[in-house]
Amino acid sequence: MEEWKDNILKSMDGADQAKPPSDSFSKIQSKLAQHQEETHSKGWMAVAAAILLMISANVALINSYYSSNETSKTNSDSELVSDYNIYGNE
Amino acid sequence: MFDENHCISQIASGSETALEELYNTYAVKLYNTILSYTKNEEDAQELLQDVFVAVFNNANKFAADSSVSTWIYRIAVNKSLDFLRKKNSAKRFGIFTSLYKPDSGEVQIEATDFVHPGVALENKEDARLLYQVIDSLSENQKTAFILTQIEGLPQQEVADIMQVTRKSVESLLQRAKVNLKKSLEDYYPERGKSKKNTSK
Repeated sequence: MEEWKDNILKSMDGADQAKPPSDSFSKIQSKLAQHQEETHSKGWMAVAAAILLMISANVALINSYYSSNETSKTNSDSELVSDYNIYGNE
Repeated sequence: MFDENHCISQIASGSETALEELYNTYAVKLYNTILSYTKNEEDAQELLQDVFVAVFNNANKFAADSSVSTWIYRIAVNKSLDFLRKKNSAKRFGIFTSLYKPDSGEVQIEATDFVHPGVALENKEDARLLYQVIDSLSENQKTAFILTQIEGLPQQEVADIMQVTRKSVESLLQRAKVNLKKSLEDYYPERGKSKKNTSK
């Protein structure tokens, strides 16, 4: 009674091996080339992103420097006016 | 004599010629192994390519603590199992496919009509049934069964590929056979009875 199940379990005994298509290796080479292209372009993108970050940081620093200079100039002008009472009524 | 370790170190240096040499040695064996998992020739061809791309990209990581054969088979088995997990996951979350047959309302069961292209004509039907019930096995049992019974690898080599002991492989194989027979009985409950009845 078990024989039919054993036969099924052994049905692949002596089977021939299937063969992959003849162009399989050339497809592997295409995938490798594609992978290398993607890796290179990612590298350049990383460099571009780093440069952009540096420029942005420098721009922010410069903006910050000039705006703090403006503020201190305005403050010293006010001090001059109040110290010497330039616009005050006597 | 083909020096596989030397071949791998050449591949690690970027040699596609060495990769082709390795491909010529292993492609047919790996293709048949992968085919037992995917049960579809197009998917198996795609996965075979992915295996050799992975070999090329990871050759520099090959530590020679296992044989080249073990390492390559391990990549092929892992890629096959990943493929099956993704396929099963897609089935579970498929929103465009109804679970039920439109006419009868019964639950649809995907029929696997895969017949291995190399199987002998007189065994075609039995092989078709075998591949139907192989899906019922756990990943480890399936791997142990495919590698030992279909691919004919020695149990120790399979143990190395699966990174378990030889005893574990033996145990997995025993359980696989029991489970496969049980599945066959569930699928075809009348088959054993009719054979019994026809005997004198």
